[in-house]
Amino acid sequence: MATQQELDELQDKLDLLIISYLDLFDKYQASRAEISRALTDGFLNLAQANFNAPNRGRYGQDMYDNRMQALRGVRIAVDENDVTAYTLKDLTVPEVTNLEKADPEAPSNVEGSDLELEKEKSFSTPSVKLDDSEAVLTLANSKSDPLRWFGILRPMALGTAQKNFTQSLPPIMELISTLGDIDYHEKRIRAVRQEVRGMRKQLGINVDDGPLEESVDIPELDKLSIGKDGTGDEGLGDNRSEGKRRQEEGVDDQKGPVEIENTIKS
Amino acid sequence: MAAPSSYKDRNFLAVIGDEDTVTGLLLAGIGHVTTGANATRNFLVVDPKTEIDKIETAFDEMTSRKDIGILLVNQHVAERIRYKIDMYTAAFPAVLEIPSKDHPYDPEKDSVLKRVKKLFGE
Repeated sequence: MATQQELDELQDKLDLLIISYLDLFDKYQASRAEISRALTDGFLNLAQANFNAPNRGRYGQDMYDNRMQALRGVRIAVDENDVTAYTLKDLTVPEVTNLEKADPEAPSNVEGSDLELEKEKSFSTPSVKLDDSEAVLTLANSKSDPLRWFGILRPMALGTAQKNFTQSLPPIMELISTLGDIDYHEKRIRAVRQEVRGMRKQLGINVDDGPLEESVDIPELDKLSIGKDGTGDEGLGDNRSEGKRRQEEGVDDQKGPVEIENTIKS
Repeated sequence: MAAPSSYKDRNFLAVIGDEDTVTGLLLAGIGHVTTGANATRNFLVVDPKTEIDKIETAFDEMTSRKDIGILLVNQHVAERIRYKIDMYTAAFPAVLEIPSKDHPYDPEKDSVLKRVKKLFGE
């Protein structure tokens, strides 16, 4: 049998989860803003470059090099909670890829755990991630620089646009990583809410204070308000009397939402 | 926990978007054309005349590739294949909607915002 103390602890846990969920959401919005800013600058500079293009050309798909090879890519790591972290990866350095491929096959346990530790470090500390991204952002491989597709006499703005678009990549990685974390927190919140609900039932607390419901909608309240068995609690008293009052007044719109509710449930 | 084999070879970013978005992201160095007989690209330039079938095919192709980790789609292009995007549930590649030049980011169409609202009962 659950105790009130256990319920309080569980509710504290739920509060903490919600706080970190909202923090993540804030981070998500910050990344969104950063991406929008970088892309907007990029589009502006690209437009400027097109405006200044010699022979009224346009820097677009007609000038892409069909032998292009990716310079920047993504490194994916999944932790024990199934939360995925995405970081920017320099694809021009093959050694890094070889090392990484060797990681899971490392025969020695000690070596393996060291590598895992390193992975965890880079996974949990954002400073490492940032350093890594910065290094990737400034990779200097002029031979395969996509700017060269567009000729030698290209406007300065095209180079600036390239910088802007490159700067949009780290927040994109961050945003997608945050999305994974948001998913994880969402699942946890739903699970803990379920537990809290179960515990409240056990303790005979039926007061529904809103946020524990998946969604607080009018049909749900209406359904409760026309309950005939009279069970329930004080919190619902107003709704019930409201329902009765409406019935007395001959308002027949109660069935609508209930029917909709039933069809949704079925 | 996802098996490392399902993501360790996913090195590339892919993009489906308008010409400026694709040009910009290719300038950033994400463009890749595979070598060999069946050369495939990791990008698709979409204009208003591009048929939805073509966008859908590209979306299916890119999401089924084993070397793509992230697929970026312009939000206005995603709107054209919304049901496909909504139905997509695989863990990899991750699909992200990004703004374009003519269509700034619209929070109303953001699935994450919708989910947050639902979670808190709004």
